[in-house]
Amino acid sequence: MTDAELVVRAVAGDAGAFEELVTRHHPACLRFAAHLLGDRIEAEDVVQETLLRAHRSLARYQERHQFRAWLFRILVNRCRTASGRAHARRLRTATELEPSSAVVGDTADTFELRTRLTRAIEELDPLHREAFLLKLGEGLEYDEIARITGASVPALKMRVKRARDHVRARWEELES
Amino acid sequence: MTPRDAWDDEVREAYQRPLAGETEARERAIARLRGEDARRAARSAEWWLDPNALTMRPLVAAACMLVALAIGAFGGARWMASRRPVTAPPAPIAVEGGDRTTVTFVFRAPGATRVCVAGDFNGWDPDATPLTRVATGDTWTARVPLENGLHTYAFVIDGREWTPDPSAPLAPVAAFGRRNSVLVVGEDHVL
Repeated sequence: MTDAELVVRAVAGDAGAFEELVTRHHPACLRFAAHLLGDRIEAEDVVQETLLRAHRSLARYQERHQFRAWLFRILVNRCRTASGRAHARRLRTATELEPSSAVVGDTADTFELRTRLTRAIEELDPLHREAFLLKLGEGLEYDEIARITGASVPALKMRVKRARDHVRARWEELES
Repeated sequence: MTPRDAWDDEVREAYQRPLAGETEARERAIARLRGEDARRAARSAEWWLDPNALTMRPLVAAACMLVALAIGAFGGARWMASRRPVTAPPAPIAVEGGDRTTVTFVFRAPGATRVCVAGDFNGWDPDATPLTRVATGDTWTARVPLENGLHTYAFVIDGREWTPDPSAPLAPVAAFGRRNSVLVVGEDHVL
């Protein structure tokens, strides 16, 4: 069953249909938020808020053939808000936020890769990091990213290029 | 656009690796959604009893109250109009000669079971001077000998509803805000 069909069922009151949408999209949402925010616990909270908002707004949602893009648009907005909160906390405590996306259960190889990626993107500002993750991480097309973020395609291409150059240099530095 | 190369794939592979505890996180999200659904259902049932269910600015509340009052007043007026005699015959009074003049009161009261006339001429007794229903059903009449001069009076419907005579002029507002009608009886005329 497609996302569009599940959305129609969910709007009609089928709770199971929305849970199926959650099952499909939760991993990508959590992965994106965790990398963007650099905080796994915050990311899980943000994803839950995103899903709650999507559930409440589902009846008003018209673009039923682009559920993933619509969900990510909500997620990006929630991450921006959370990122502002984290920034405020950082200013208050004057300490660095340690990335905590690696949790118990990762293999050593996965832990090493994830840590390297987290370190490589941590110096990017939120807008560059957001564009980089949506393009290189999620593999979305530029017009889809434009709908999600509200930025123009040329601006996004510029952000991705700059972010990619920076991350690549940092990645190689960490590798060595 | 930057061409995609092996490094991009390596980064994407690192990014796409499932996070530890992903399944549990998804189950927590679904549990929260279910909890929210249950809370929403409970809230919708309790909404009608919740004293804080509605919040609005004082200005909006005042406007709503005014609209409600206007609707109430309009409805009340319509209801009163349905109770009031709708087509009172004009000048329902007949005249006879002498110091006293016999006046015929005529009053229409659809749905009434008893109609009386009360005025200064009978000590405002609501039961002293009953009218008689005529054959047409809604019209009530009474012939009452009155001394010449000015009188005030009102009709009493079913012993509790006081109403002025719609075919006669109104007297100034009486005690408790009630309105009465005025009747001037002369030797050969009634005003």
